[in-house]
Amino acid sequence: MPDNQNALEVVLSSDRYPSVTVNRGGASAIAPQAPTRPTEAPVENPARPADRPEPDSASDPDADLDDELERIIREIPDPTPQPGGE
Amino acid sequence: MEGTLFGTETEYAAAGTLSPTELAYKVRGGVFEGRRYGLIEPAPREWGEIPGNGGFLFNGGRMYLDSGHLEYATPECRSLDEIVAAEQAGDLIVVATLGALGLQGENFFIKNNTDHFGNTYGYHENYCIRSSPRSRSMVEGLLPFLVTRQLYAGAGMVRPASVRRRGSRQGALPGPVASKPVPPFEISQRAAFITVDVSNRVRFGGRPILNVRDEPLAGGRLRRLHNIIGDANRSEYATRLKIGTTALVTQLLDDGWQPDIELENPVHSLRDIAANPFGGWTVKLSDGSTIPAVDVQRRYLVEANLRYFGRDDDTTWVLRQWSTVLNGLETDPMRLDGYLDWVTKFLILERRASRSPQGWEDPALIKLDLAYHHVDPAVSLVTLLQKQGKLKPLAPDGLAERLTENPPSGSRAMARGRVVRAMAESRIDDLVDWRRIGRRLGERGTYGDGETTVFEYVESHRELTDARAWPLINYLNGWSDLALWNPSDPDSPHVLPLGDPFTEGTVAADEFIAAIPGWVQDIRGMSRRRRDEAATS
Repeated sequence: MPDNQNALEVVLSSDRYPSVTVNRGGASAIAPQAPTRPTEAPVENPARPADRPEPDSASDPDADLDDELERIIREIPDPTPQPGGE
Repeated sequence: MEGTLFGTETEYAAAGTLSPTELAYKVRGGVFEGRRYGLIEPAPREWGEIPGNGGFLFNGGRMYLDSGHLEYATPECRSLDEIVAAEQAGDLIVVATLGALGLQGENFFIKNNTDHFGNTYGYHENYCIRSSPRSRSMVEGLLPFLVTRQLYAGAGMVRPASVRRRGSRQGALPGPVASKPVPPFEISQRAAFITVDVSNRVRFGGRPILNVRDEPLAGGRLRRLHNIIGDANRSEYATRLKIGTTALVTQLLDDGWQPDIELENPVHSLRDIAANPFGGWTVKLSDGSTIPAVDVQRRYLVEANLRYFGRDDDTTWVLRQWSTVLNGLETDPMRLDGYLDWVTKFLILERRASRSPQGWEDPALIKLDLAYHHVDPAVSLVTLLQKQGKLKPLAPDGLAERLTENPPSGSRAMARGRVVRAMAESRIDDLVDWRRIGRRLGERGTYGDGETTVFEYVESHRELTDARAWPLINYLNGWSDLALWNPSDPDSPHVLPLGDPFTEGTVAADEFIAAIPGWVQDIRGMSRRRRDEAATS
């Protein structure tokens, strides 16, 4: 196995759910380190759904989005059958 | 990204006042009319391409008609920024051409994979590999990866009624989310249309998870993986992750590593995962055990991480984001809103459904699904989400615009794009007698109720020489070489080989380009003499 000292630490969920196994050697055999969690977030931390206001909130930040969605629904053609491709 | 090279093919859907096929036909014409973005090709080609069906673009890619769709193949790219931007360049070209033809605003192109009437069409990825795509190691190594890749690479869709009628496996959510009502939503656009594990075909006889068509389009020992299971992503983040992880996995397999995972039934696993937008995905292995689907991905991530982390910026980005996304999928997939297409789309549709008396049966949901994939910024839901900061563009500013007319760096696309432009500037296509091509290389036949022309297809300059057809075709551009007729020596056409896709070949291209005006003069002179002789005889 290559020895890359700079590599990320990756944890398998199998380590937290010991009832599941993989084909050969078990999940722990391929985990390079004890369970730790990488800290990187994708580009920036997305908001959790729970952080968002309720849909009918007076200060709903998505109200503008709803108006725009209605406009787009009006402006684009109805679903149109396409030739099968590939 | 070190040691690899990739490109994609997009079959656009179309809608508006014109029929999809008519719109594709007109825009194909508009792309090459006046040599706007490339040079039309006179040769009838394999896969049913008639003369003038398409041509190479100044960016080194290709635009053509396929099965009634306008299809765009990107040039070969070496970096994630460039593949994302090269895909977007295709979108910009079709929208600009609609505008040039006076069709914009009433006619639209859509970058997705299903029409919601039961039809699917492709988004294909190509990776330069060193093993045969048909080798046991490549097949066994790729299947578990591709089945579970949809977790972050799926574009999401409202499940078409035709698919519901076919009785997919939706409704069987795994343990942690078993009590949730199942919306008619799939995280992948393609999963419902896949029927077999492996095939060398793409449509008839079963649409496969893994296509093993062995058509290298390169010289030496290089091969090409032609991957058809993917969705046409709109999120730049998802596109980068999809291409980047797959490139790393092909490198792992080329290096001799194997995941040692065998799924009991890949097609069933593919559909089960697709039918569950809530998480807790599992797959059943051939030994009867069950593991989390994210751990299948982690098996590949762990090895790629050990071998390649720190190798180059793209690789490190992919490894970091791959790890983070798998953790997110495991803990709360909806946190990936704004990053993964299927999550972003699902939340918009769920919000709409929750406010509609018809719930998930509201027909507006399908229009919103389609709007997500419209490429015209005026009606594109993705453009709207980007303006609102909900979906993050990652490609460098202006790169997509630049790639509408210029090739990316670091691959043979550089030579191809520049030579095609030089040929176009010499107006070599003016010398093509399209009617004679039909008479000489085509035979009239009947197909169905009508007459049609069956062409003798030409793939290489050697075939043209053997058929003594150079006076008809004049030039033949391909992925692995470019060629012009040499009237002084018909057995020795002017050829620029591009067998090594990792080489820009600018020196050889510059020499070739410098000679093109003289060669075209030779062709023009010979064509004139032949016409005169025909007129006097």
